[in-house]
Parts: sequence; C-alpha cells; structure tokens
Amino acid sequence: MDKKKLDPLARFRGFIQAGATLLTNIHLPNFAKGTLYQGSGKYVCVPGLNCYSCPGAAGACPVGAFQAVVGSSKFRFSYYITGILILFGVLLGRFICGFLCPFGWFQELLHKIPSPKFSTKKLKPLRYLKYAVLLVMVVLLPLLAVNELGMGDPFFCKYLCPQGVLEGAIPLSLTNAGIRASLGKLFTWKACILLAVIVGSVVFYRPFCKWLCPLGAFYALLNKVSLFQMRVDTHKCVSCGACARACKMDVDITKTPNHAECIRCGMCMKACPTDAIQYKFGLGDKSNTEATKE
Amino acid sequence: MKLNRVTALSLSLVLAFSLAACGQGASSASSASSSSASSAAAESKTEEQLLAEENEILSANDALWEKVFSSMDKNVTETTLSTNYGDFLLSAVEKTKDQFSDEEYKTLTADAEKIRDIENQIAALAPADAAASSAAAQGTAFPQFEGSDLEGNPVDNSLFAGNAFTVVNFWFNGCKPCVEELDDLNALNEKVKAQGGEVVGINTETLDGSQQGIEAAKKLLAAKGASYRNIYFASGSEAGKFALNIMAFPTTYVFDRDGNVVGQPLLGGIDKEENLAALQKNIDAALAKDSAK
Repeated sequence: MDKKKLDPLARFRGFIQAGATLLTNIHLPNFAKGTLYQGSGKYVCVPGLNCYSCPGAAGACPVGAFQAVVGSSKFRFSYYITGILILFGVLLGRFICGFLCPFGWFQELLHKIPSPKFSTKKLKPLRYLKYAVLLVMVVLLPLLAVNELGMGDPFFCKYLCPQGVLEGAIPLSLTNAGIRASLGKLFTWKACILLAVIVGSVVFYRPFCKWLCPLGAFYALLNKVSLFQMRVDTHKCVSCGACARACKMDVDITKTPNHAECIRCGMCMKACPTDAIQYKFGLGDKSNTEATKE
Repeated sequence: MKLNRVTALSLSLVLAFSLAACGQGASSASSASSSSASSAAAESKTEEQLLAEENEILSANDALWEKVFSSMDKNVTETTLSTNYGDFLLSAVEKTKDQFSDEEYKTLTADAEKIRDIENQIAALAPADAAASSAAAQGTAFPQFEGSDLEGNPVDNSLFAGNAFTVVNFWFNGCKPCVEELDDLNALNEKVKAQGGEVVGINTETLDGSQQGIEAAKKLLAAKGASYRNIYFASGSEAGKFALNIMAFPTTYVFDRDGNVVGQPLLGGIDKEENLAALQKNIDAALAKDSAK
C-alpha cells in the first residue's frame, strides 16, 4: 500500500475533524466566562451536531433549530432550516458525519481508547432507529404535542441529545451558578445517556451515529444523491474484500458505494491494495480517470 | 486529483462560510456595544438636567457672554479643562472686566458663580453614579433605565423604590416554559401586593417598543390571564444589555428597594414547586432586608 496515493482528505481526516470542531466552537473565551455567543452567527446552522448552548458555538445546531421553529406557535414547518439541511446533504451527504461533525469526532476519539472492540454487524437493524428518532422526536412530537397556545417542546434536545449535555449543560453549569442550581432529574437522565454513549463509543465504533442521530439520518437519506460520492474502479478491483472488512460502518463499498451508512471516512481506501476506491465530487460520471462503473 | 481539489475547495468554502458567520456576528456585537456606550453617557439624567440649567443661565445673558467668549484666551490647556468651569468663567470675566458696565459685570459674575455651584453638584454626582453603574456592570443591580409598559405608560428606576421588593421575570414569546408560568406569576403578583411587592415582566422581544413583539406578548399574557406590568426599554441601553445578556429563559430576579439583586436569579418556571420555593427564599430575604432598614 502506497501511502502517497491516498487521497489527502482521507489522510488528514483527523486534522479536518479537529479543525471543524474548533471552527464550530470558535468562541473559546466563553467557556471560561460561562456565557453564550448570541450574535448573528447563530442565525445560521453549522453542518454537524453541535449544541447551540455550547459556550463556544459559532452557529446553531440544525436539529435544535428545526425543533425550535416547528415547536413554536408561529410556524408549523421550518423551510429555512430544511433548506440549509438539504443544501448540506446534497453537497456533502454523510461526509459531514465523517469529517465535520464534532460529536462524531468525539466518539471516534473515545474509540481509540484501548479496550475490547465489538463488531456492530449483527446490530444492523438498530440503524433504522435513527429514522424513527428523526421522524418522531424531531418532527412529529414538537409539531403535535403542543400546549393550548400551540407551543411544543424540542423533544430530541430535551430528552435524548447527549451532545447538549456534553457541550451545553456540563460546561455552563461548571461556570454558572444559576444553571448549576437548576439542574434536576432531566439532567440526570441525559447525563446517563451521555455516559452510555461514551461507554458505547469505546467498545463500538460511533454507536450514536449509527443508531440514534437524527441529523445522520437526514444526511443518510441524501447520501445517494449527494455530489460527494465514492467510486470503485471495477478494473482495478480484485474483489479481495479488504474494504468490506475495513469498514467500521458495516458497508460493502463494492456492492453499494453510496450506501446510506457510508460516512466517507476513507478507511476502505486505505485498505484497498489496488487503489480502486476514490472520492468523487460533482455531477454525473465525468472524472478524469477511465469511466468504468455504472 | 482534480476532483479532490474541487472537494477541498468546497470544503474550505464551507469552513470559510462558518467563519464569515462568526465575523459578522462579532462586528455586529461590537457595534451594539458602541451604541450602548453612547447611550450610557446620556443616561445619568440628573447630570444632563444640571448641564441644561447651566446652558439656560448662559443663554439668558447671551449677548454679554458672547463678548466674554470672543475676548477669551483660545489656548485651552489641561489645567483650564480640569478646573471648575464656573471658576474658569469667573477668571475670564475678571480679565474682560473693563469692557462691561458695573451692572453687567455683576450679572456676569453672579452667573459664573451659579455655574460654579452647579459644577460642584455635578462633581458630587459623578462618584455615586459610577458606583451605581459598576454595581450594574457586575450584574448586582438593575441599571438605570427609562422605558414604558406595554400600554405605553412611562416607567423608570423609581419602579423599585415604590416596592419593598420587585420580582422581575425575563421571558420571550417563543419560550414555552416562560409562557407556561405567566399565570403563576400573575398569582404571585396578587399575593405579594399585600407585602408591598410587585411582579414585573420584561419580554426581550418587546425591547425598543417592537410592535410585533408587543402584540404577541399581549396576546400570550391575555391567554394566560396575566395582568401584571410588563415593561420594555431600548435594547442598546444598559438595561437592554442586562436583559439581552441573559441566556436561559425564563430567568427571574428579585430586586430590593434600591434596585439591587437579592440572592441568586432563578432559572426555570415557578410553575414547578421547587422553583417557586427558591424564588420565595429570595423574596423572604428581600423582605427581611427591607424591614431591617
């Protein structure tokens, strides 16, 4: 395997993840002050799952913003945020999960902790849970479970999202006495979820992304049509199966190069002995390499 | 490889996009702080009134003072700036004494002396003001403000002086837990009236008298049967900053008669029992403090 031929994106993925996490949470002094950035950057969504209430957050979380709008009495659906999400999804698909999402990176770092590692191949049905989370907790409940004034709760943020505890509740309560005083049962429940995700991430690869993340589910729906795709050169492929064995998202890239679960991490590219797998960005099949696969 | 570059380019665009968003936010934040700084200067109303008095004195004998000013030494030095303006005028009148009749000279010196007294009053005001505003900056007192309630009646800091304690609830229209405690706050207002207390709401969407925000807030208050006072002021003022710096809603403060914060502000709605108990603790502390005076 010649390292130099590996796509720079895949090679420097860890750095890109670190950079994206830093840019997404660029207001670092706020961590010490225990305050939130509340400027106009918050009118825009960041691509990954990153809590609005993280002291450093540069923008809003798309999942949180969507629920806030849908749950308000004024609107029934958030066209603005859905539009941004479709744009991100069509441009990059689940590349966002693999490269830009801070919570994805967090789980990956945890997975580097030495421990027995378990395969998730037998747990594939759990993948569909995240679509249910998207539909029920992000769309339906905020829309339908409303009070007499038509106001709903952001159910996913309130009852499930571990990123909110990690980035919002924990750093804010450390520096802000008022918030510390208001922590209650809900915090305990969500801290348990976070703990479960942390332990799960050590032994499984990205369990939250695979099974629970509604943002991942949304991007998964657009993964097949996104401009960022994987290409397998069937002339070069020797069908050795190394890629499928290397894939931690349980995808066989040679059969389904644009599977909904593929987060474009490039581990298959690293594993491929013949460099048959490449990133492709753009419309159609007009790459400068020989067109081989339809 | 070309495609990789396209990818890298698009990626960098996305990243730059997120950065640009931050930059814009930062610049708007700084412009907000500069506008609030200018309003802070105009805020200490009493000082402004005193300065207006000075101007009135000068304009009453406009023609005479013009003469004094025209023959004045134009070299304004550090010392002339730091001395009392009344003294400064007196010495200027002294120097131009021969241009005026005795009577004119008397009026001028009388005017200058009045101004000197006013200047002394202003000088005495300044440290008190500074102390109050520093307490406000630390978030331990409600800043000086001038605003109005949702019906348009003027409201200012005298609000606090009129009550033994004032419960101030910060909320906004889209906040479900805020709206859900409005009826409980109304009940609290009825209850504390007897103790000389008052509940006041500040809805951050009504700041600057935003008609849309006020309409929506009135509807919500009516729907919840809440009739206690809700007030607003300029978002750029110190009070506006105080309100907009709050990042968790609802937040409920208790202020004493002097507008100082009592206890820790409560985060969360008082429709929950433990929150109401926490607020009651602050109220009791404020009451105890007030009766001790």
